[in-house]
This record gives sequence, structure tokens and C-alpha cells, in this order.
Amino acid sequence: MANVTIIGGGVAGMAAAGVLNKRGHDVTIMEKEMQLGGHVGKWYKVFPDIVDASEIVDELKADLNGVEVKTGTAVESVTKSGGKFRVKGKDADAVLISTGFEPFDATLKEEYGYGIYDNVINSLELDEMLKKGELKTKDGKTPKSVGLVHCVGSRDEKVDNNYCSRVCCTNAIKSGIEIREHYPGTNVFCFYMDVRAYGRGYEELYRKSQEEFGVSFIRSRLSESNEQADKSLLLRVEDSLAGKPMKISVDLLVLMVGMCPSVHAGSLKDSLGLETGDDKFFTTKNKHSKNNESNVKGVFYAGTATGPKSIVEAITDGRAAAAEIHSYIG
Amino acid sequence: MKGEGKARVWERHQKAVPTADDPGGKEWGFVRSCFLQAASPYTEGIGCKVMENDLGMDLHEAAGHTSCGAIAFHGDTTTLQANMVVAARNFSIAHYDLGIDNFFAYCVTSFGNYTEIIELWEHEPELREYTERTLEETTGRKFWMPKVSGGRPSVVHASDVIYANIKKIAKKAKYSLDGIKATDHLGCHYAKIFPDESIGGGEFPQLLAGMIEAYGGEIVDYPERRHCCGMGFRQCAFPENRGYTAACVYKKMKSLKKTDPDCKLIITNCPGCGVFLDAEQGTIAQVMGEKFDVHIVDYAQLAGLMLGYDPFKDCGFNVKVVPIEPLLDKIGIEYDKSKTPEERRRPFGPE
Amino acid sequence: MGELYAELSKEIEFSHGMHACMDCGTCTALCAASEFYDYSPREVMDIVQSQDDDKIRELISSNKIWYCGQCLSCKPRCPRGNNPGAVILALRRLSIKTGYFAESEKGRQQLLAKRKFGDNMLNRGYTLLPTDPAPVRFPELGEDWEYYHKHMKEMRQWWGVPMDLENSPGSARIIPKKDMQELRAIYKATGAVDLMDKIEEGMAKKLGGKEEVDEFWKVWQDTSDTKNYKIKGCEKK
Repeated sequence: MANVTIIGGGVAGMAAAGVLNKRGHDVTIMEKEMQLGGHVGKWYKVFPDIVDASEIVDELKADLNGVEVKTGTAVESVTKSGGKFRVKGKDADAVLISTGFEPFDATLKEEYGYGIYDNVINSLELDEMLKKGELKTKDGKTPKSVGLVHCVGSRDEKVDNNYCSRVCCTNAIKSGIEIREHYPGTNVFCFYMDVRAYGRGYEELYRKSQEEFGVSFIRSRLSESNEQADKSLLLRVEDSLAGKPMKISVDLLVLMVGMCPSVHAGSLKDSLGLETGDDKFFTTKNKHSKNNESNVKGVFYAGTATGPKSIVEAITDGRAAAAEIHSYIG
Repeated sequence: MKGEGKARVWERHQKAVPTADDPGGKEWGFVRSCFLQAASPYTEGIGCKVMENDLGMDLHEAAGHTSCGAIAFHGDTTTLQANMVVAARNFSIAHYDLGIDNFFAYCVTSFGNYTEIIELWEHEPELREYTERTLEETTGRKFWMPKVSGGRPSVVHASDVIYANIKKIAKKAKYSLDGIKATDHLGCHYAKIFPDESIGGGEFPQLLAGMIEAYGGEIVDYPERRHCCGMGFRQCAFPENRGYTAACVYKKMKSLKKTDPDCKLIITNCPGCGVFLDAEQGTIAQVMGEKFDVHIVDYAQLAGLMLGYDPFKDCGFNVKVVPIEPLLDKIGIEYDKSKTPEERRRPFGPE
Repeated sequence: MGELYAELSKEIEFSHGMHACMDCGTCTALCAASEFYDYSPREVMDIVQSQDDDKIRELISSNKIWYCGQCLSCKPRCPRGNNPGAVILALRRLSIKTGYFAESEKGRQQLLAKRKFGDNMLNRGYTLLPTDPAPVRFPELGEDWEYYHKHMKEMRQWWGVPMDLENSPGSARIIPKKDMQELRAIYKATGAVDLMDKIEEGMAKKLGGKEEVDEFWKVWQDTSDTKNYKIKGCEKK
């Protein structure tokens, strides 16, 4: 039996806590928000089977009987002495960092007008609207057309994020389906460079979105959005498959924002001497068979702290990390 | 449009430009613009008048300064290497012959060209070495790097200088843009090549919008605001290509009219834009039968008008295609109404 | 990698402008030339990226590379940090150096660019002279501009920007001899004169001699349209 402190109570951290708890360890989760569940806990329905996100979080919570949960507790630093760690006044034999991600700040893509134009929102805000059943433009009307922009803050040298954020394409597909299902009078246009829907059931969802729901896909990265007099957006794109530059109007523009490392990652990195990659996520010992180990003995990683992942990958990663920690302690 | 969003963008992209009241901010060297000299000579005239008379600046220019050659560069008749050495020569003369440290260019293409060259020198030492060596071999002159903005290698544009002093100018102004709508049009080579060298960045630049605001005007945005005016170097220079220029202007004018038909004023900072946004309205009227009557006023002319200089003799509006009188009336600027429009524009008799 | 691509790779504008294009279309979406011409910066990047000499030769022999207005709106937006406008400059240099520019109508306009911008620099130290925006060439500048052209010197005086001053700063001044000598020396040493010579040579080769090139220039000066010059030995062009 050993003390394990988990920094970050999102799905990866919760999954790891569940496994370690079952193995009989003393587990403490430190979570900066006032509740567990991380981002997933706030979401509406998730792909590929379009289930309630809250069900996933509830399931993971069920395994946490006996786990010490400290919410409203942000961890800025961890000290190491001997083979042990000290996290916010508590001793631990091993530390799991599952600090997750922050959504990309879309105000950095100034040419898209987020934070400036009335009807430009990001994917999280869209999810909130759909959860409330209120898909509306700023002046309270149901949009007749919605544009979903892939790769916002991802694959983009201009904002210094050269990586792909893994889930935004499938998320866009799913959101497209949700909008078309509940607002059949609303047209949906996805502006993409590549449709990266790789995961069990994702490609099928892509097909479904086109076949059953009539979501339109235009192969173009969004170059610029401009506000028109009626507050709708005029988009400049190039349909690169047809080889035609075009302008298209949408009432509501949704930016599928990518994942960035959590704000707290920086201070944890400094206090423990952890390594990060060019993409600023934590670096694991190797990307194949040691993907939960950090460069510091006894410090492990799980979830999107080491790079963009889908929910199933984060949960699986959490459980894998727990198994690694269990071996390490034993 | 959310003001806080724009303000946040402006905060992110600021550029230090010495004002006339800063220590050392009174002495400036400058180079002229081929395009202005040829197609709108009055701009440098009113620009210098405002800087010298109203801001108390001492402006220095060398007889031996030449064009930066960027129009030839973008017109593919000169090399990057030539432009680097010519730039170095102009800088060297400014510092060693004129004894100045602050330096601005009247031309936006020059600004883009000099900024690009400075960037190359900073990031590629072999290019800097080549320039120093060639400058020495061909002219015997010593290399000097201008560091105008915040002590880092940089030059600024004349409109940067006017903007840096805008509070002072607005305070001295006899007139204002109260109740008048205006939109901005930044030269592509000012805002787009190095957005971080543009005050306010490349997407929602503050430079001209800030001037409009300072004079009390209402800023208008429209979908084609960022669209190039179409000057296009070889596109405007040769009549057989100029349909491109006219098409760009037409696109912008249509979009502005559709978005806000009451906005009849565009403020510019680039020589080419200032000429073609005005002149091509004439082509469009003739070919398409559509009149837009949008006044094109550059930052120097605008400062001149606000400060009470003569719209025709000082600001050069006598040779613009779109008649300026309706704007003067709106602002309340006095001009000789006893003369005919032709008489106001032709000081040497009717022919 | 073919010879043409190898030559292209040597241009600084190319190495700075080309970093692997992923065909996202961001550049073409806002390119002014794409709106009005059968042109696409994305297509240009693709062709160059293919490193296929035949495709590159076809490209630099066509009107395509001359449509770009050099606004560089493409540069701040490319997610790979490419600069199609700079790649265009490199392609144009290659086109001139190899002579292929003379195969296209817009390419042949380089003679006009050289005799205007280039020669102006060497003769007067400016790319444009006050006489260049002449009413016959720029009718849209209007009747008041025509009046200005007739009264150029006195109107510039009136505006406070007198021209042709000697040994003095000023607008459109006569740049002193020594400074012009320095400028010409620079243009010689840095390959600019060579580039200009290549334009004249390429035109002479295509049109059939220097006299033909001068005739081409004269036709443009008289009619403002190079299409009025018919290349000898060709039915259409």
C-alpha cells in the first residue's frame, strides 16, 4: 500500500484513481475546479455513440469510494526529497500528473474575429448552447446557416501550434449532426483541410453526417471572416477540390479550437524539472511502451497532459498509468 | 463589433515610435517615395508642413538619397541583393552624412522593403556581411543599422510618426470628424508583410482607426476592408493590366456601400492606395456606370485638413477625381465659395 | 530534382517562401489575383513542390506567374509559414534568367518594367518620374491631373514641393552625379544590371533582334497595349 497523489481530476485522473483505489492504495486527487470531471464533466453528448458525457463521469466516480478528493485545490509546485514527494502538505510515494488541456484561445486568430464579431463562438460555447437547447445568434434568432471551422489553433505555425488536436474533426462531425438533427432548417458547412476521423466508429459517423444529415464539407481552411451589416459572417475560403476561391455567408461561425497544455503545467514543470516537447506538452520516456513515464522517477503522466487525446484514450491512458504506478510502488 | 475585443488586439500589437516631445524625438531623417513624387507630390508637402510647423520637428533629407528601388524589386527588374545594398546606402547617408538616428520613409513599399531587409540582416549574418562588404566596395560607405522603434533594428513609416503625435495634432486641430463616418485602408506592405510592425497588428490595425477616433470620427468596418486596393505594381503600371486595379477598387466600393452607404470617407496611408482608390472610381463610373463618390484622404492630408491648412494649395485636393467639396462642407472647412470648382483647382488660368 | 528546380532553389525568395505546402487553400481564398484571373497561388506552390522541371517550365512560360499583384496578403495567413508572393518573385527571376518570360504576353511586359522602373533607377535614381503617370497612360486620373501635367513645375511650386532642384534635398530632385555613380555601381555589383540585360536579351531572342524590341516598345508607347505588336513569324500572339 502506498500514497499516490493525482494532480488533476479529469477523466484520466479519475480513471487512474479508480484502478489504484481497487488495488488498495491511498489515493488523493487534487483538482483545481470545484468539482471532478474536468472538461468532459461540462460537455453535452460525445462521439461516436452520442452518449451523455455526464454518464462517463458518473461511471468513473463510482470507483472512487475511499479516494480522498480535494477540489478547489490548484497545485503550483511539487517538492521531492529522497524517494518521496510532497504535494500541498501531503506526502506521496508517486505522483500522477493528469492536468489535462486548455482550449486554444481563439482571440489569437484575429482574422476570425472571435471576441470581436457578435456571431463568432468556439466549439465549447456551441456545446453549451446545444446542451441548453438554445442554438441562437446574438440577436436571439435560430441561425439559418452555421459554419464549423476545423484546425483552429492546430496545425498552424502562426500561433506556434504545429500539432493536430486529434478530436476536433470528429467533434465537428458530431456537432454538425446535432445541429442538423435538432434544427433541420439550418445548413451546416464544415471547413476542413483533412477529415481526421480515426477511431472506432468515427469514419462511420462522418459518412452518417453526410448521408443522413446532409452536413456539407468544403475542403478549405478558413482564411478570414468578416462581419456584414446584419452581423452574419462573410467567409473567404477556397474550395481546393474545385480549385475555386469563394465567399460564403453564415449566420453563426463556430471555431473548433484545439488543445493546449494546461496553464499549470508550466509551474509543475519548473518545480520538478520535467521535460516538455516543442509542442509544449509533457514529454514521456518513449512514445510506445513508456508513454506514462516522465523523466523524473516516481512522476507519471496520464491523459491530455502529454498531448491531445479522445475521451477513450484519456481513460485508457489513466488506467495504464495506474498499472505503471502500481508496478513502480510494488 | 465588440470594442473590448478590438482593444485587446490593439494592446497585443504596439510599436514604440518617438514623439516630437520625447528626448531626441525632434530630429528625424526621411526618404521620399517615388510613387508620391510622381502621382501625388502634395502628400510629402503637407506631411512635412505638419511635422515641421505643428509638431516642431526638424526634418533632414540628403540630396544623395535614392529610391529604395522596391517598385523595381516587385516589378522584377532588380535583385534582392541590390535592394539590400541600396538600403544600406540610404541608412548610411542618413546617419553619417545627416547625423540623425530617427528615420522614416514616406512610402509604404519602402517601409515593407526596409523592414524585410533589416529582418534578413538580423537572421542571416551572411547577408549582412555581403551588404557591408558590397557597400564598402561600391561606395566606400560605412554600414549603419537604424533602430528607430524601441531601440530594436527597425524603421518606421511617416504615418507612424503622425500617429505617435496624434493627441497633440488633435488638440491643435481647428476642425474635427464629429458626426462623420470613416473607414481605414492600410497599405498591404505596411500591415501584412510584418503584422507585428503594424500598430495594432495586421487584422484590426489601430494606426488609421486611431487617427479617425482621435479626430472624433465614427469608425466603420466592412467585409472588404482588408482587400488590397489593387495597385499591384506591374498591374497598375501598364494600362492593359489595370483592369485588375479597377476590379479591386470596385469590389471594395461595392462592399462599403452595401455595408454602410453613409460612409463616404476612406483614410489611407499608402501612396498607391491613395491614388487608385480615388482614380479608379472614375474608371468604374465610365465603364460600369456606377458612382460611389467616396473621398480618399491620406493621413497627411487628413492632418492638414484638421489643422486648417488649405485643402487645395496645401493638401492637393485640386487634382483628385472625387470632388472634395462635399466632405469639406460636412466638416465645415472654409473654402472660397465665390470661385467655381474649376477656378479653385486651376490657379494658373483655365487651360 | 531537375535543373530548373535546382536553379529556383538558389533564390533567397524561394528558400524563404517555400516550406512544404499542404494545399489548405488559405492563400487562394484571399488572393486578389485569384478573384479576377485564372490563377491560384496554391496551384503555383503545388507545381513548384512537385519539383517537376516540365511543369515548372510550363509555369514560367505562361502568363500565370505574372498575375500576382505582390500584395502579400497570403504571407500573414499561411499555417506553414510559406510566402507564395515570394515564391512568385523567385519564379519570375528564374523566368527572366532562362528567357522563358518572353513566351507569354504578360511576361513580355517585363520589357516595359525594365525600361521604366529599371532604367529610371539607373538614369535618375527613382523608379518613377513625375512624367510617368501621364494623362495618356492614366486617363482615369482625370482632367484636373491633365491640367497639372501642363503646369507641372509651377503647380508643384504652389503646393510647396518644387521639383528638379539641384544639389539640394527636395521632391523629384536631380540626384547629384556622385550619388548616381554609387547607385549604378551597386546595381552592377549586385546583379541588377545583369537581370535587366537578360530582359532585353530574352526579348531580342524571342522577337528576332534588337530593332524588333525597340518596335515593341514603340508600339506600347503609342498605343499603351503590347498586344498590338505582332511577333514576326507568328500568326497569332
